[in-house]
Amino acid sequence: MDYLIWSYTIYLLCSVATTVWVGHTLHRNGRIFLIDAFRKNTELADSVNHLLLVGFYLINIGYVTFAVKYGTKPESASEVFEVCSTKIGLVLLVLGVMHFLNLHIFSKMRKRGLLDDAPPPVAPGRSVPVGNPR
Amino acid sequence: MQTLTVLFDPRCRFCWQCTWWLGRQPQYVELEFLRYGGGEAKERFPTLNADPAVGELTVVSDAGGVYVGTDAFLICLWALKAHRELSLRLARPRWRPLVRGAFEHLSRNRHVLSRFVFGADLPPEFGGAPKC
Repeated sequence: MDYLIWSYTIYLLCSVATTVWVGHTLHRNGRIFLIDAFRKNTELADSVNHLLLVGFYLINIGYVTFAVKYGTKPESASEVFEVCSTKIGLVLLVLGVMHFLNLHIFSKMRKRGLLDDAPPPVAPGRSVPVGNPR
Repeated sequence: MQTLTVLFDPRCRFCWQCTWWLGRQPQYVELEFLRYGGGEAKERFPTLNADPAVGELTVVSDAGGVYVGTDAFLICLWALKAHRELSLRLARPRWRPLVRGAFEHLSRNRHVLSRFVFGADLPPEFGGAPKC
């Protein structure tokens, strides 16, 4: 195999493995956030968690495959490492951005869930008997 | 809590505008609007001291809890989906005095504000609750 094929192989293997690892970590650790956000509705939380994982894989693996042909073509063993490190570095940055975006979405969902159940911020000053509304 | 009844000063045009806005916001708790001192308000809450000369913003929950003034303002915000977080923040001790001061100032000067913004206040016989 020439250097180009080596660089593609290393790039694809590392990128896809990292994507799967990050996705799996988010899927496992994000579940508890989502269960809290969806007020203990475990089924709905698991469903949303799974859908988020699918979206995460689609975007990341899509980017990885899209970026295969970009970059300089290596002509020596040292250039294989350089090209791979640049491309894998970009993938890691994309993963980092996606990770923080996911965290942001989770925390938003959780906050919204907590707000739905928030008790009134003030207590009534007094009470009156209530008639029937018209 | 399912419903909050908002009693507002029907002579104040600014108050009508506020109820119009409130009624159109997405709500966690349904808001209904009654004219302070009006027939329906007296019928529904006969023991509430309905003095139309005062007409301070008053909110009554479906359990009969009465919120007046700043508390009524905060409970109205709490009922809105987009502003519940704000109401919880404004109710904290740090913000409460500022909110109370601002609300009381606004409430005292609501007729002046109505005349300034809309040109005129509304006559006392202005009838009908807003359709919300």
